Amino acid sequence: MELLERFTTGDVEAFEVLFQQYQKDVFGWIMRIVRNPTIAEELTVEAFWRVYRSHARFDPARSFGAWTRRIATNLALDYLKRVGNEAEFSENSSPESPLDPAVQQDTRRRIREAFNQLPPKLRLTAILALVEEIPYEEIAESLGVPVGTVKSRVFRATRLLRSKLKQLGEEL
Amino acid sequence: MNDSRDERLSRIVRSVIEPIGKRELQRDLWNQVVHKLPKPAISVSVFDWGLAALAVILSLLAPEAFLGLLANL
Repeated sequence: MELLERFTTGDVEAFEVLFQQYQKDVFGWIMRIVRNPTIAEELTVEAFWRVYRSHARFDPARSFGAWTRRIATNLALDYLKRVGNEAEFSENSSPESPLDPAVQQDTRRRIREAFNQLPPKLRLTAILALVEEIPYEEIAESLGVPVGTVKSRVFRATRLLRSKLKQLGEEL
Repeated sequence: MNDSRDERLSRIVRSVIEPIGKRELQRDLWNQVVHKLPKPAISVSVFDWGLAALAVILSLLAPEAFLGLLANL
């Protein structure tokens, strides 16, 4: 029996093989959304637990990676909803992407604040699209929504960001 | 929506919020996952139950013989 078919029967050994193949990808994906390694590890474990629990519903003709990533994305979204505005975005200190010298310290703080205040669905889409520069198609697949929905969310997120920044006295 | 304004906003956001990129997992999480998996139920066959019942009956009816049996195990 094929690996994915064995997994659908609840075979733990098959699940372990799949887990070893996909844990890095799932962790990396969640990390991009929640931006905290400890939380990302916890959510990766929870995601795979849900994956195993749903083994009977998995169609072996489909992509295990895409299915797992969708479950992981929903979990990460639930996390963003739970923590609300408390999720912190670390400031960019990477030497490869230096801070725009034209952007003042206070403006940077305001942009982070505005980002934190975005509704979770828009925040998640904006992180992936604007910050991580992930293609819309990939974001759509991970969310289980059409590409048009992703475009619309990015549009709403940028509009909201501008409006919040305007309220904070910044015009971008 | 003005594309150049969008691009400028994206660029500024990226310069303020650090892109994570491809972050490596530092350890294997399998042990934590396996801990959450349902434990397989321990199944005891009818033969084992019968053997256990026989041992109990033997220990009640003939304790000496039972102790002798235990000593020889």
